[in-house]
Amino acid sequence: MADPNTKRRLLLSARDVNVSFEVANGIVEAVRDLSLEIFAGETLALVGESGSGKSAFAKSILDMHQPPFTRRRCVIQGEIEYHRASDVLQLVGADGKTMRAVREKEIGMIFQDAMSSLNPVIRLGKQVYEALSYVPIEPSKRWLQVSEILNEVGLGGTRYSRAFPHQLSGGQRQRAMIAIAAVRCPSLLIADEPTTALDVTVQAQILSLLKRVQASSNMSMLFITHDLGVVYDVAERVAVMCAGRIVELGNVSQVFGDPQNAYTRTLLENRPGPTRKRKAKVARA
Amino acid sequence: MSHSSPFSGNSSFWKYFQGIKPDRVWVCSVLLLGIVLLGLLAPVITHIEPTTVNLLARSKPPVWYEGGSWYYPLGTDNLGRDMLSRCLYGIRTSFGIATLGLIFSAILGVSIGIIAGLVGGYADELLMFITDVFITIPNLLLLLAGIVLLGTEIWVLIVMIGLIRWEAYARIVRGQVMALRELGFIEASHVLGASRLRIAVAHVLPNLISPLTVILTLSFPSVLLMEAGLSFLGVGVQPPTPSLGRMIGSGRDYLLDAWWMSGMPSIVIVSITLLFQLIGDGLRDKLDVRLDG
Amino acid sequence: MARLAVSGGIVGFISGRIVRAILTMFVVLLISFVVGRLSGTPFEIMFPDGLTVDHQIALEKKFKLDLPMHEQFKLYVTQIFKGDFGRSLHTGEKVWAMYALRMPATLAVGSLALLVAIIIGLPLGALSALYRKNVGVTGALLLVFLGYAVPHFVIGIGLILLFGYVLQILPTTSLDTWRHFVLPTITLAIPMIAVLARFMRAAMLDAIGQDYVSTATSKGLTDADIAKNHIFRNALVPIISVVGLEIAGLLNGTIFVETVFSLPGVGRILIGAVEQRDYPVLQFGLIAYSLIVVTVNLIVDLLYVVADPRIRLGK
Repeated sequence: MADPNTKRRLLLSARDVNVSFEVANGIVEAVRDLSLEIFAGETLALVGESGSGKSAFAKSILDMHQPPFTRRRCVIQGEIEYHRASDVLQLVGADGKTMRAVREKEIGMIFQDAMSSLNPVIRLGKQVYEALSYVPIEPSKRWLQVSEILNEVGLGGTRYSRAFPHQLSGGQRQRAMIAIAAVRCPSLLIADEPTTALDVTVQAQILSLLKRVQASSNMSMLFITHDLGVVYDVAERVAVMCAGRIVELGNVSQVFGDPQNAYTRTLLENRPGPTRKRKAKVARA
Repeated sequence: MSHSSPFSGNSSFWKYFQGIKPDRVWVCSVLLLGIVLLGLLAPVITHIEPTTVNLLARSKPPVWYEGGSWYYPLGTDNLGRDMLSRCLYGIRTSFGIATLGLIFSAILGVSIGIIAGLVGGYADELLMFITDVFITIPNLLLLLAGIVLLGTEIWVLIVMIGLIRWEAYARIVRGQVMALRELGFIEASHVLGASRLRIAVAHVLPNLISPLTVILTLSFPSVLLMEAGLSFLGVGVQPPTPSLGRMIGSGRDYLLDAWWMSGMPSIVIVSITLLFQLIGDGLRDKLDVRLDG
Repeated sequence: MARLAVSGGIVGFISGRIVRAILTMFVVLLISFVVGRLSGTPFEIMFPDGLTVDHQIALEKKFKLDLPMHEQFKLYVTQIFKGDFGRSLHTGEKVWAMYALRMPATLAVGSLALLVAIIIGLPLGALSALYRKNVGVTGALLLVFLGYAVPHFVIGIGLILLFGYVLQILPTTSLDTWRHFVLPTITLAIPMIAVLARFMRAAMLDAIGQDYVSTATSKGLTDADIAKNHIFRNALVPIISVVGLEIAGLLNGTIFVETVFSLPGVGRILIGAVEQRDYPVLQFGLIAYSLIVVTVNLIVDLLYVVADPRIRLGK
């Protein structure tokens, strides 16, 4: 139903993005010459094996590779433009203030491992509340928003908002992560393998929750996964990544129905089987 | 990671050290060796006995001060004894006691660790409890109790240091033995008829070389400081045996007029402990030893 | 430290800790009893001219020394619980009274140093982990490294020379005004600052690599908030047990600091007891110091429970 050629508002465009990490014995190029566009309201899936550079790219959008909070040095080149209603922000090389504003208001992110992504010593409600720290409204209104979003993701009540992460199940933790990302009503949600670590039944619940949240606030979503089955469920368009490059990009039905690239075909053929070649050449995505 | 696996010790001791380039560890080792040699060669370097009193040359300053002379390069103490000679002989005393104490504690700790690891069960739990208790009780008080009981002879110091410092070795050895037990080849050798002790010696000890090297280097300064501390308090090495700690302690009353009486032995002690610390840290990084056993 | 992971939740954890503390004190009493018995009967000192065999047997009966060892130990423990630590063999003074007079000074300097070490050591370690390239922080860390290798008595003498004799701005003996506390406290704190800064740095570096820091970044928090609420908060958890382990070292240090600065603390009682082989006096020190360490460790364990909800609330 979604046609990229129809007049939809452009939200994010990446052109010739290169991401490389400094490691002990040289430089690893995680992403090479990547270009893609995300439109308002759509879901773009980014698929590929572990280590193909999906996550490295996703984290580059929010400039999450920078010290002091990461230990590896990382270089990002190219252009990532974020289109706001009134202006366009260049995210590559943006200063800390701009990036923080983007993270705070525009782009949310959820991660694969919800257990380690939640702070073990802070109560859930506080962790969601924190995402609103800099919103200029009264604290009581912030707490109201927190309980609303927790309700929406199915973690309503003080029982959950006062819980610590280790007291929740895997699915509940991922719901909490979605609440943290969605409470600010971002225009774009980056979901980095959000269902990979979960049971199949829980996966389905989380996916439908993501779709519901997306529909209710008209977010775009960049959905990163190595599970092609999930792509059918959530995305309109798909980009296939291999060894840091995008090898194929188009509508899901088109790409999966008639793959042009040899790698995409291999990926499709191997789909039902267990994940192969886990050993990543690049640092784990 | 690979170094801390129980198998890594199967390669020879020297293989570890081949990877070490001439850097911090080497430089510090050479300097430390220099200090040890100074102590060993004390009778050759200085012709003055450390105990010779010269009341006519009391509190002489070191050579670079006005009134100093090359006869007493580091000056003299309040009884006119040569500071250089006393420092050199003090190095001997300190190293001697620390080395013997350390050997005693290592033998004790390694044996206890092997026994606890091999026997397991209650013996093991008892060991872990005792090591916990030893961490809790202030070491110095135990040392003092031992001295009240046994007196201040040098062998008492050595034995007490050994009795107090074995726990680190026991812990690490026990950990290694347990890891090997998990791997099962001790059981295999056991089936093949090897005695437990033989197994322990043949399989466990080679794996312990690098962690033990690191612990020995890192605990040497603290053992040395135990002796120096007790001597400083006046309850360690007794006169006339020259001891760095005792010199610092007795120079305390003369700080204003003759700082070198405390200062010189302080510099010697700090150099020794600092060098050991640097070497130990460097070795730990290079051999990738984790000491949490 | 690794043994902190206990199943059974808060009750199991705390009761385990209390049992351990009690067992530890039991071992301390046992050691103290054995050393006391080995160091000879008090009669030798009370009657230096010797006793007749009959007299000795009568005395042994009177002081219950003819009972089997475990009965004697029971008596010994009962006495100690009643607060009866005996008298000094040398002066005949009540041991308890000797210490009561001197304990406040020791505890004051000790707890002050602990406070200073925490206030300086933790931020220093934390900053050195956050600003790894900063020259000032690296320099401070090197100084701290020096503090690791230098014993209390050398630090003390160095500070006396510098502040007392060269600069002449601080007093170097006794504890009359707050200025008298400065040098002893710093001397005692420096090695502990070194330890805490070092462990804090490692714990911070460990926390920095964790995923929840990415989450915090993605929320748009400021660097300061991330460092404070996420990294520092988590790094504190392992540090708490390090503080507990360092208490024993701190108490050892008070003895040196009191000697160096001639403070009216218990250090001199202890050293005097050793010089005169006055075991009842030393025995009190051994038990009291161990009790302090055990108690502080118990408090530290409770803090651990507060800091780490995974222990507090169980799995």
